[in-house]
This record gives sequence, C-alpha cells and structure tokens, in this order.
Amino acid sequence: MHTPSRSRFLRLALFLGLTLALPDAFAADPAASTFAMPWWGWPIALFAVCFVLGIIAVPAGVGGGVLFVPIVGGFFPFHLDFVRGAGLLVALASALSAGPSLLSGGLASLRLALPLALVASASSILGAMIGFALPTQVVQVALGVTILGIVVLMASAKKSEYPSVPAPDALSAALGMNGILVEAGTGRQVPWHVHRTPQGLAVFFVIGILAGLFGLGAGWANLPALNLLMGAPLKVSAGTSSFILSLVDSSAAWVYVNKGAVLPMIAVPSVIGMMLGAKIGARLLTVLPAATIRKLVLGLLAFAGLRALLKGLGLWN
Amino acid sequence: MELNDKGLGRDQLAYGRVLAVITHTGLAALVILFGVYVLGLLDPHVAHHRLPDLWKLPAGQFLEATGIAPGWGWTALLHRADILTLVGIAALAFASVPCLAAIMPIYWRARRMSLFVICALEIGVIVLAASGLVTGGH
Repeated sequence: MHTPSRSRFLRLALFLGLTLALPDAFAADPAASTFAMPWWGWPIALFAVCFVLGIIAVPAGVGGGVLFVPIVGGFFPFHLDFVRGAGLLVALASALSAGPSLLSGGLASLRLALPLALVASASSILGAMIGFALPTQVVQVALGVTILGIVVLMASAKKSEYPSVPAPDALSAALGMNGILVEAGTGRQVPWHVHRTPQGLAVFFVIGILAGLFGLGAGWANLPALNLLMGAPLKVSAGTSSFILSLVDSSAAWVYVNKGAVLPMIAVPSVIGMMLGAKIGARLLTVLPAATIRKLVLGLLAFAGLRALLKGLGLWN
Repeated sequence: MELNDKGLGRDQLAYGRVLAVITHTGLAALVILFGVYVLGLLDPHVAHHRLPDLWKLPAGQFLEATGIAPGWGWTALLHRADILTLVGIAALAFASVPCLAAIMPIYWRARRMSLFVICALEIGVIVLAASGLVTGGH
C-alpha cells in the first residue's frame, strides 16, 4: 500500500527519470541535438532538471553543485568546460544566498571559515588552471573517479553532533576559531573550539583544488573535514561548509569567466532552477522521505559518476 | 571582541548584512539581464540558433569561433545581450570582496591583525583571479 508521501516520491522519481532521459535521447547523436531540439529547448530542459535536482538536494543533504556537474555533463550535449563553469556558478549562487541567514543565525562561523577559505580559494585557482590544461578526456575520467569516491564517502562517513575536542591547538586559538552555539529549541549555549588546524588547512588546500578542477562545489568534503577532523559541532560545520563555498568558488569562478567557460544560456537557467528547487525542497523537507531520497541521490550520483568515467574512457559516448 | 546574546560578533553580523544586500542585488540583476537576453530584447553577440553548434566546443575554441577575446575582452561587447548577462555573473563572483572590506576596519579597531591580514589576502586572491594575470586570461 502506498502512503501519500511514498506516492509523491514515486512521481518525483519518475519525473526526474524523464527529465534526465529526454535530453539524453536528443543528445545521443550530436547531429540530432542540432536539429531535433530548438535552441530554446535546452535551457528549458536544463531549468527543469536543475529544479528537480534542487528539490532532492535539500532532503538528501547534498549541495547542488555536486549533482549538477556529473548529471548535466553526462546527459546534456554541452562541453565539459561550460558544465564545470555553470556548476561553480550554481554552487556559488546557492552559497551566497544562504550566507546571510547562516551568519546571522549563528549556524556559520566567520572566524572558523576565513583561514580555511583563504587556503582553499587560492588552491581553487590552481585546480581550475589544471582543469583547463588537461585534455577533456582526462578531466572526464578524473571526474568519474572523484564522483564515485564521493558516493563512497557520503555513504560511509559518520557525523558527530558535538565532537570531543579536549583543547584547541595553538593556531586555532591564535586565530579565534571558536564560538558559542545557541541551541534553537532549548536556548542552551554550547561553547566550542577546534583542533588539528594545520591538518585542516592541508585538507582544505586539496578541497580547493577539487572544487576549481571540477566545478563541483565542495560541501561533501568541507563538512567531514570541519566536523570529524577539526571537531566543530555538526550544525556549525554544515553552515560554515556552505559559507566557505561562497569564498572558494568566487576565485575559481573568475578563472572560468576569464577562460570564456561561463555561458549565460547554460549557467543562468541552472542557477535559477536549482535555487527555486532548493526553496521547494526546504518546504517539503517534512513531507519527502529523506532517507529514501538520499539513497536515490547516491544511486543517481553513482550512475552519473560511472557515465563520466566510461565517457572519458571512450566506452560510452 | 564582544559577542551578542546569540554568541555572534560584530564582524559576523556586518559581513552578513553586506552579503545580503549584494547577493540579492546581484541575483536580481542576473535574472533581469538574462530575461533581456533570452527574450531577444537586445541583440546578442552570438545568435541564439548558433548556440547548439558552439556549446559542444571547448571554451578556447568557443572564444575563437565567436571572436571574443579571453580575459576581460568580453567587456568590449557589453552592448550585446549575452555579454551583458555576464555582468550579473561577475557581480556574484565579486560579492565577497565588499563583505571582506566591510569587516576589516572592525578587526583593525579590535587589534585582530591576523584576521585583518587574512581578509586582505582573501581579497587579493579574488582580485588576482579576476585580473586574469595568473590564469592566462590575458
């Protein structure tokens, strides 16, 4: 017997399948993509797919950027350069619009974010430059491998509400990377601080490279780095992770703009679709079966990662 | 640095306020400029019907095929709708700079020189990326 939420979920899954399958059908033959669908069909299809991705991203607990690049890169006829550029814009716009409420609500910590964002935004420039220097097939293979790695990380990573941090390290203490989390329900004030800051900076250097290289956003990596490695509370880690993206993706986005890899006809419908979808997703948070959607999204990511890998290897074009 | 009853410092609140204004303005500009472009209210540099043949190309070849110079070359074509839309995108990519600039005086007055320097360096990184000097944009 289907419950109303299960029925809604099935309809959502069907719509997602159709919106992904339709552009692919037109794009399978490069010549067909020119003649089968008029130019205006592509931004509409892109908007529809991103709208659905935005809806499911929220209950699945993932950022839009990490869904956008492998799925749009795998199933739309755009060159990977433009998909990565649009992916960065999607992640940047989402992070910027979430930033003010995260900061004023105390769910993101500015002083925790700034040193990490500085390292990651510098390395994201390096990542973006590497992405343009490498042959597309190599980037495609690396993207596939990375996405499959993200699926494993997301499926297996643990989270800790309040990690045990016996004492802050000298660097985090000097930089004031601490704060007070006020619990919304009880009003209880929980002081927190972080440790392993040098290791955290090293990890964020790598995260920045991946963000710039693939245009993925990097919330999937920021969150475990802040929460499990550095010991920030889960809520602070989640908010700060999103806020860091607003700085990291800014510098990488400029590399893509300078290289001509930001095409408004691809980037803007994607940004609008993803942001509207995320607003709907946030409202449906209590209705949609989050655990099931998370499994669906992980399955979708695994499929898109495999598609990117096989496309890069020339086995599925 | 003093904290309010939510445990938030003045730096965090100031950053959030500036970010809200700039992000809302930038997103609104992006949507309006894209509307002008997609509805054909202003001629684009690259005709709409040519896009399906061009967006399959790598970015470098796209620039060559459309006669757009890399780096800041696009600013010479701001009278074209597709290029004008990039202004909205550039506004979002530059949004963090005024926010960082807004909190630097707070850190200066509080004698938090390490945070002041980090903000200055972050602005430097974004401006360097935007300049195209290290990215081969020029």
